[in-house]
Amino acid sequence: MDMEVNEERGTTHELLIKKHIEYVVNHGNDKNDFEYTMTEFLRMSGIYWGTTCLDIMGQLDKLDKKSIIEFIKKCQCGSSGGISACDGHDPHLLYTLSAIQILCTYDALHEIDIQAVGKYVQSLQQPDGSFFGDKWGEIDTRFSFCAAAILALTNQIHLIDVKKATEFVLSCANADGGFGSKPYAESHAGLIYCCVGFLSITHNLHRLEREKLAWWLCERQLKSGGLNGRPEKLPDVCYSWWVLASLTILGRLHWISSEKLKEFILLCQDADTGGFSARPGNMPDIFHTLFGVGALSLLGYQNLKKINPTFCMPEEIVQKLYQVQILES
Amino acid sequence: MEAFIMNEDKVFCERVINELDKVLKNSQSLVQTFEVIQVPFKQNKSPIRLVHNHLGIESWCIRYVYQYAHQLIISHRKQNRLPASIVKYLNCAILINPDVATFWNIRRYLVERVQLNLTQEFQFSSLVLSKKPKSSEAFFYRRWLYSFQSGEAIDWAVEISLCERCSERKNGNYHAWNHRQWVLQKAPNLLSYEIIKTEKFIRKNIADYSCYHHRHFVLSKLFDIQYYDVHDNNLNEIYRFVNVGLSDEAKVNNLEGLIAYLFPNISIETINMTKLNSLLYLLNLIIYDLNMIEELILMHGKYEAFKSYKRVIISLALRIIKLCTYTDYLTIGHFTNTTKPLENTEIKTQNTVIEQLLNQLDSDDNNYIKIFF
Repeated sequence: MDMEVNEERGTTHELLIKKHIEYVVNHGNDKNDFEYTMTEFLRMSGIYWGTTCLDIMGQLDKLDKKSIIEFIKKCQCGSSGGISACDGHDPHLLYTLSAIQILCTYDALHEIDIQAVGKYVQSLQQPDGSFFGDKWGEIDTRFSFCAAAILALTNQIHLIDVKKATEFVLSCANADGGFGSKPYAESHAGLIYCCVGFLSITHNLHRLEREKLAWWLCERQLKSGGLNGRPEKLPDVCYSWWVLASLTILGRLHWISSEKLKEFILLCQDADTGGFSARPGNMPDIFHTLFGVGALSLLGYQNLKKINPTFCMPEEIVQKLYQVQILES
Repeated sequence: MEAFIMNEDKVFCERVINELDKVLKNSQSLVQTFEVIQVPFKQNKSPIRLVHNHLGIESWCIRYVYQYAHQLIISHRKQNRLPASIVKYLNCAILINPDVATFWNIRRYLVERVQLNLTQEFQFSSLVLSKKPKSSEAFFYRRWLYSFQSGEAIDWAVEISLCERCSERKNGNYHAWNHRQWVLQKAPNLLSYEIIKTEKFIRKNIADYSCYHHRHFVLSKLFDIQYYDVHDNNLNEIYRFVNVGLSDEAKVNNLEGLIAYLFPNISIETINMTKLNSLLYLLNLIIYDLNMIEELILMHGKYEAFKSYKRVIISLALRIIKLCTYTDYLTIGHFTNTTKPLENTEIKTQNTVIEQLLNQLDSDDNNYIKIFF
């Protein structure tokens, strides 16, 4: 399923960097805002999307580093070691990863108890190699990625059974070459990114059906130039990231039309407020803004820092911390 | 007006939350759906509405009520004081914003301390799904609740119906289909009913690929449990398929002939009949599905879902034919589970059925076939 792209409403083919910086910096300024309360449960990820996006645009210093680090310190759980989205919420691997990514960006891992984070991640691995997201026991390949990414960035990957974790991730592969959230679940570009990212971190990319998976990923590109996340779904800017990052890791970025995708992503900018939306004409949000900017960076857009496809962080930061596996094209 | 409400915040919010609580306490088992009703400005009556079995809250008030309930819950959570009386605030906050894991976790905490009743919790989560049919938290909560019940006491068919309703309401509902797979792994006896249910769903929602994927899952699982229909092992689809283009004398019309045609190297005396029956049952279904897709293409034109589904079921057929041809899978008392790797070209030349199956793929999908089959 695709969409008609209407270019009439004051659209542009340039990246509106200034507008986007403004959008990210002002995001969440009104702390009494209803939307702000509604999204509190994912605040930590929101901050990660904002800081990373600004860093890629070379403007990280526009946010207050000190208050962000203070915020993160308050979110580490004293008993489990895990990190929550916001003070008063429960710790979870999703937000623990976001917090670690922000701290890496600020070169401030020492500000929290990293060993406790390591123990938290370790405690969530199951006998079949999979990971719970938190103590309540949901399993998902997203959590395998979070676990590996957290431990890689903090140099503690030895804490988990990587072999078993890899077997679990590979058990989520489908006949079409893609991956789902658990064994037998439908292939989904977001979860493919998690699985490919996991294998890139653990240097196991050779165990993938590379060509079949890349083929499936390429079929996500629609006539509008945008990418969807599954067959028959609408295009969405966030899949520009997940599909494109996976293709980059697989060394198959050149299998899709970069020009058409670039056009589609640029059409998703909000020329008035700044920020990117899922599709042209929708309301922008911080999540799609990072993935729009991130995808443009993967496509080699000028004036943007190079982004690492596995961690979705500036390449210069990842280089200092961990060597991921990327396949040659 | 806004200032007025800010001043009266607490009293007003308590009143709305209590009213909601009263409805849920008195008739939760009857309330089937919850919805936010778009009413932009304050009306001079209660924002809670109950019409027959449908509960609603007017949109103008949710920002105040949600912020109030949210703050109250989080401040209790910070102090680690979680009395059962917090439930009415949780009900309100979760119905408005089902994505907050911490709120669901407080319910779990209360369930573990027997301060919440399982039946009511199932009802509440299903109410949440009536508002947000793709709520991953609500499905996850239900899986967690089931861990307190013994398998024999659970009517899993009810859970399948819930998934079906949620999938009907949201195209490509990933969490609903995943939940359905989870149920079927708990209750494999329901797998065979899925054959009819998924066909109906597909015919009604031709562009919902999640259902095609689910049907493929059902087919593979049926093969794993060696299922076949004892009362009606009709193999007409296979016979029709293999007989295309054969002369009258060469036509296959009985089981022995069919086995000889499909597996020329296997002698019928050594065959495990249960495995054979399940294999033929599945092949018959796959061929039925290929015909169904052709019919759908005629009616609706080309859809990506059709092409994708054909690829995966043909690949499933190839997998099981290979398993039976090149391992001792079908032989009585033997199964080593090691498929010796064979080149695709070798397989193609040895098995005419595989050739016929591959011909079923769209001609515009030739590149895919060349590379991956």
